[in-house]
Amino acid sequence: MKDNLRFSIDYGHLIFLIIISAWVIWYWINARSVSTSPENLLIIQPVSIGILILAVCILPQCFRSADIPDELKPEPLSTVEFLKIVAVMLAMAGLVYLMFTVGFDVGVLFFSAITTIICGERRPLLVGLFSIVTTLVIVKGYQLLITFPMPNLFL
Amino acid sequence: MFDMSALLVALNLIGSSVDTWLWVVPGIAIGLFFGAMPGISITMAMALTLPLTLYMDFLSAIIFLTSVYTGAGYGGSVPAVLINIPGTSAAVATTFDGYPMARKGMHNEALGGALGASVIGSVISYTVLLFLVVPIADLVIKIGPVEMFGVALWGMLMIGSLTGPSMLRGFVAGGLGVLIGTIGMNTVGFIRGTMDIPDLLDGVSPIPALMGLLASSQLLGLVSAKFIIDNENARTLSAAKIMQGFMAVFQHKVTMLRGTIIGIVIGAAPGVGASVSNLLSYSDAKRRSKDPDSFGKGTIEGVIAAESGNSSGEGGSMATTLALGIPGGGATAVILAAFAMHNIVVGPSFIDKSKDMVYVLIINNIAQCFILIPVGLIFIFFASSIVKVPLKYLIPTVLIISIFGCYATDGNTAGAITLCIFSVIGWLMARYHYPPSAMVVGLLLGGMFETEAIKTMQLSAGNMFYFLERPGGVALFILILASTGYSIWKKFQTK
Repeated sequence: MKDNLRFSIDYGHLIFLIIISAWVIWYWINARSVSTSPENLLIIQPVSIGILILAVCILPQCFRSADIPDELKPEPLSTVEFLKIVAVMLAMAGLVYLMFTVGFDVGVLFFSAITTIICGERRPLLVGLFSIVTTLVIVKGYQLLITFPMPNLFL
Repeated sequence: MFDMSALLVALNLIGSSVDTWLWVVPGIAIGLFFGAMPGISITMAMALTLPLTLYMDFLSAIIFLTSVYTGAGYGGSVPAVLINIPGTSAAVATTFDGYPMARKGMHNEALGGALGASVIGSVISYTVLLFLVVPIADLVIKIGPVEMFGVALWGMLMIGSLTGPSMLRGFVAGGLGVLIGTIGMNTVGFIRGTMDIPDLLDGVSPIPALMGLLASSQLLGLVSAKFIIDNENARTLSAAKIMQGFMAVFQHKVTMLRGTIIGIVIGAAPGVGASVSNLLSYSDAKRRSKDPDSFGKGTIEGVIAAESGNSSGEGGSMATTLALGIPGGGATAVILAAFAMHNIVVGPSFIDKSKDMVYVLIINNIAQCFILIPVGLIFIFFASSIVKVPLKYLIPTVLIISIFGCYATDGNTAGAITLCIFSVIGWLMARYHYPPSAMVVGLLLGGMFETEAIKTMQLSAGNMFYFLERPGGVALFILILASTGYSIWKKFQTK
C-alpha cells in the first residue's frame, strides 16, 4: 500500500502539459471574447473542452511516471545531448534573425558552421569549407528558384 | 460519353506529333527535382516553368506542363521517405511509414514502393478518366458543403488511427492540431488567436508547421547520431531492392485500388486535392489492415496506400479541370492558365468540340506515368545517396533548406518563424509521446472542417438531419459509419 503512494514526478511532461492546457484555455477565452456565436465556437469550444478533459486524465501520469508503461516513458537524455538540442534550436532562431537583419548569406554561413560543430565535426578546415560551399550552393540555388527578394551581405 | 472515333483521331495525332514527346522526359525530371525540394510546391514548380511554354505550340506546352505535374507528384515522396520532410503537402502520410522504413535501412524498398504506387495509381486514374471524364465532372458539380464536411470528418477520423501508444495523448495532439488549424479569420469573419499578428489572419501556414513538426523536430533528436541509418551494412543503394519495393504494390493490390478510388473521388473535388486523399487513403488502409499495429513503424503497405491516394488524385483533378474549367488545385490552375495563353477555353464546350484533344492529353498522361518509371528509378538511385551522408553535414543542410523552403512559400519571416516554433513543439511532443502526425492531420483539416461545418449549419438552419436530403451526403456518412464500424468490430474480434 505504501508503495502505491510513492510519487515520481516527470517535471518535463508536467510543464509541457501545463503549457498545452494554458494555451487551450487562453485560446478558448480569446475566441469567446470575440463572439459567443455558434459560428465562432462551433469547433473551438467542444475541442477545447475535450482537450482539457483529456489533459486532466493524463495529469496523474506526470506524478506516477515510474509506473506508466515503458513505451510511454521519455527516452533517456543525457545533459550533453539536451544541451546540443537546445544549442541547435537557438542556432535556428539565430539563423532566422540573421537572415532577415544582416543577410541570408551571413545567416547560412554562421548557422552551418555552428551546427556542424555542435553535431560533432571538429576539423576547422572541413567546417569552414562545408559552410562556404553550403552558403554558395543554397543561397545561389534559391535565388534562381524563388521570386521573393533574398537580401544578402556578400552574395 | 466515350467516343471511339475521337480516340482514333487522338492516337493518330499522338503518333504524328513526335516532337511533342521530346518534352516529356525534361518535364518529368524538372518536376521530380522541384517536387523533392522542400517548400517548392507542385504549383510553384509549374508556375516557374509556365513562362518556358510561351514559345511552344499548344500541345507541346500542355504536355510539358503535365509532365512537370506528373514528376512533381512523385518527387514529393523522396524527401518524405529519406528525411521525413514531405516535399509537398500531398506526401504527409508518406512520411508515416516511409521514414521509419528508411531508418530501418529499407529506404530502397520504400522509394520503390512509392514509385510503383504513384505510377499505377496515376495510370488507373487516367484510364478511368478516359472513359468517365464527363460523369466525373457531373458528379463534382453536385458536391456541396455537406459532402465536403463529410470528407473533412472522414479525414478527422484518421486522428484515431494515429494515436500511437497512448490514445489520450494522441487525441490531445489531434485536438491541438484542430485548434491551431482554426487560428485566424474564419469563413464568417471572426478573428481568433492571432495575438494581433497580421500574418496570423490567414491562419498558421501549414507547410512550415508540418515541416517543423515532422522533419526538424526529428533532426533535433538525431544531433548525437552519426547517420540516418545506424547499421552501416544497410546504407546501400540497391536497384534490386528498389524493384522489390516496386513489385510489392502487386502484393497489396487491394490497398492500392482502394487508395486509387479515394484519390480519384477526392482529387476531383475542387479545393480538396491530393493532400487530403493521401491522408484518407492511409487511414483507410490502416483501419482495414490485418496488422494495423505495423502502421507507423515502417510497413510498405502504408507507403503504397499513401502514394496511391495522392497520385490518383491527379486524374480526378484533371477531370474537373478539363470538363468544367474548374481547377482542382493550384497546379491544375496553372494548366488552365497555359490553355488560356493559347486562347483555348476548357469546360463543357471543349469536351464536346475537342474530344480528340482531351483524349490526346489523357493518353499522354498515361504514357508519362510509364516514362516516370525509368526516370524515377534513376532519380531514386541518386537521391538515396543521402543515407550515406554523415548527419553532422546533413542536419545543417536540411534545416537550412527547410527554412529557405518556408520562406519560399510566402516570402516573409512568418514561415521561417513558424518552422522554428513547430520544431520545438514537435520535439517536445515526440519526447512525451504525443504523436506529431496526429497534430499535422488536425492542422491540415481543422480549417476545412470548421468552414464546412459552418456552411452546413447555415444551409440547414440548424436542422441536424439536413444531410438526409443530400444523396451524396448520405452515401458519405454511410461510408464513414461502415468504415469506422468495421474497424471497431475488427478490434473487438482480435481482442
